Amino acid sequence: MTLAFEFSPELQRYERELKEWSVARIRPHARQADTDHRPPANYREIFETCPVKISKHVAKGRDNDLPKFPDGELMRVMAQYEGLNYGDTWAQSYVSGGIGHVVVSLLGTPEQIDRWYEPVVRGGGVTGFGLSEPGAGSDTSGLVTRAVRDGDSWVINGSKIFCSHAASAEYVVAFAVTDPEKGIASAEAFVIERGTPGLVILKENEDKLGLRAWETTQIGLEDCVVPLGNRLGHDPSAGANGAGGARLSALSVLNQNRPNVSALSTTVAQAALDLTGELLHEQRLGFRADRWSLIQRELEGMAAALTRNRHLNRYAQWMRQHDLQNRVEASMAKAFGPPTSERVVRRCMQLLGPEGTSTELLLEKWYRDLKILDIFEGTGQIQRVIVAKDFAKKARG
Amino acid sequence: MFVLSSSTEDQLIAETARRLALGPVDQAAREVDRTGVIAEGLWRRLRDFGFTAPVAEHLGGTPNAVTQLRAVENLAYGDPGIVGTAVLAGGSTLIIDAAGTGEQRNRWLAGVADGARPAPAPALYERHGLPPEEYGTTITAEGDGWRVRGTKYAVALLDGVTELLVVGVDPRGGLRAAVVGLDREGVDTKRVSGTSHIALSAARLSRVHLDVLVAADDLLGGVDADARSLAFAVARTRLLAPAVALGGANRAREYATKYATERIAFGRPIFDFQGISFTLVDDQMRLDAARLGLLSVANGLDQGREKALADVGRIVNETHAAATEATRNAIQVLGGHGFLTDHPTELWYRAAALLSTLDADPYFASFAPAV
Repeated sequence: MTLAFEFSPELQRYERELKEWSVARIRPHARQADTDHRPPANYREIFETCPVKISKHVAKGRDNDLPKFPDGELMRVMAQYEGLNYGDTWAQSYVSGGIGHVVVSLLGTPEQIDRWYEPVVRGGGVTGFGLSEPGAGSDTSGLVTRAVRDGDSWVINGSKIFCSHAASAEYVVAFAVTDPEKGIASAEAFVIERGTPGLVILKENEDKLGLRAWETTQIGLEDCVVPLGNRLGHDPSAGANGAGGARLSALSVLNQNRPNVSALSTTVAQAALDLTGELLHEQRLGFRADRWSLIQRELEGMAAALTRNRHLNRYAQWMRQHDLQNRVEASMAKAFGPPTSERVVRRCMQLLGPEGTSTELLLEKWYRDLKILDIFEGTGQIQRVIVAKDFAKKARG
Repeated sequence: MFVLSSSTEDQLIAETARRLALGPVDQAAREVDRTGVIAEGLWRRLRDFGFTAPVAEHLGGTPNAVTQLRAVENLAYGDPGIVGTAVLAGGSTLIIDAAGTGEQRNRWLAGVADGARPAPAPALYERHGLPPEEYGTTITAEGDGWRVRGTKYAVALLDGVTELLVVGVDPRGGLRAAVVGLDREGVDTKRVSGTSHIALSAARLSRVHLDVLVAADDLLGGVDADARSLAFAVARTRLLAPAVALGGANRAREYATKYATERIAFGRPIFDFQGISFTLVDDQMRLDAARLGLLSVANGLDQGREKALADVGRIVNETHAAATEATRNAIQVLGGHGFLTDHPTELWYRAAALLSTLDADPYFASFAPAV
């Protein structure tokens, strides 16, 4: 049997068109988006010029208008990540639209999905998600945001950090413990709609090293009252059922995006490498033969490293596409790709010299952007823990 | 005999540097990064300290490369952006002092130590990590004068400066340096205002194109200059940026360690997890090795050893490799918090990246994947 390590010709063409459009229409706004800490005001108009149809959401099989490829929808999603982010990263924040509604689709009842998921998918709205807290990041057992039943309502108090899109979201899905003694086992997810009294935007967008156009919000929940029906998952008239741990486990589906995060890092590094290669070729006359040979070896070494990233990313995604358990492979892709992508961009800046870090180029922005990709959706360290536990489990039978 | 003890004087200098670092330098770091301006008071204190723009000992400057490196590293512990700016801007004094004639020292350094006038801005670095002996900038006899032709990068703080100290090579491949008036015809400075690079915003780094004729007495050391003295002085200057990076990286490692010992996850401080602690230990091993390497080369330069000249490129690149990795790992240990400007880790990460591009010679460093 012949193996294939590339997308199908159709999907390659799709990715190429997306890349070319991204370079032409997304990249010119990259510097301003970084400076303004937000996408350009006319971003919807920009996206209307996109020559291929792209998905705003990664939930499998929800959008039937998307082009079909023999590779499968999830491979198309990865091609979208690679194509779209090749121009710059700011566009991804528009495309992702948050994950609050995805959480609704995972944990909600059919009625809740009709109410909060379907309209967002159809209308292209933005939703927020609040899980991390100042004292609880990778370890969610430290959650202290509290929800207390009060008659026909839940009263929620606490705070959330690193909430993507929460400031502009139609609603935020926030986790809170309902029984301090049971802790995380009693965690429940609540839909908190914009304008709900007690939902306070503490900081609209954090001051960050990179990905500045991605809205990262701090919210406060101060005696925030929501109806019983806003608790995701079961009969709104019933009390908490202590299935919070299971609810959080259900969120592990979100982790399946990990290979795409690595793909994002890889395509940004590829953009940096391509740009650096072009600039160095323009400067070639200034090199002695032996030095040019060194430069070529450096460029080839980086290209090979990014190919290795892609192999792991696509392997993990391919497994999921074929309904194979890919938890370990997804973690390995996520641990492997982003730190090497970061090194590629750093090395590109070094090869160009001091001007490689100038704001006249985008390399320095991409270097800042990439750092977080080895952190969010699970740090490299957490990914290794996941893989190591799997190794041990298998070794012990 | 293996000796690494410091003299009492060196210890005092290092301690003074550390006090400055943890006081005014640290306190100003975020504001300087934001505004791109180092307040006059802080600038004066750095100048008065005498190690970022050093002149001869009898003028109150640093006696040797080892002492200077220790001072600069300790100072950069406060903020590599501020100290990197001072070092990049101050490098010409050392070179003029070491390789200039008596008349030239008077002409270009008088009043510099007390801040009465700025020294010529040093124009050393070029692209692609070229070492001095391969600089593309040439200084060639032409008629009664000398033509300086080439492009220099990362020239710091041109505002208020009237002259450049340009280092290049003569037709025989020997190092030459010349002082060039910025207002001379044939000097084209591409000045960039504001925050124009990933870090060191106060340095306002510029690119300078030169195609200018200078007089023979503008050649550092004159027509018969001692190229060896110049080479040693330039080599010593090249060690300063990695010393700055080292100071910032050590601070980052210590900051991340403190955070890791206080941050609780999964029921214990995250430092208890080997994925965190071993990373930090590895970083410190690399940083210590880099420091000893830097000091070894500096010591060799102080002793006038030719081998030290040849070792500069390698230790510069090894130090930057250690510093860039340590600063990125510091952010990693802080997780999402390290990515926010609430913590200084991102400042140190950016500064280490910029400093690593000044002298990145692919003969001494090559790309290596992270895993």
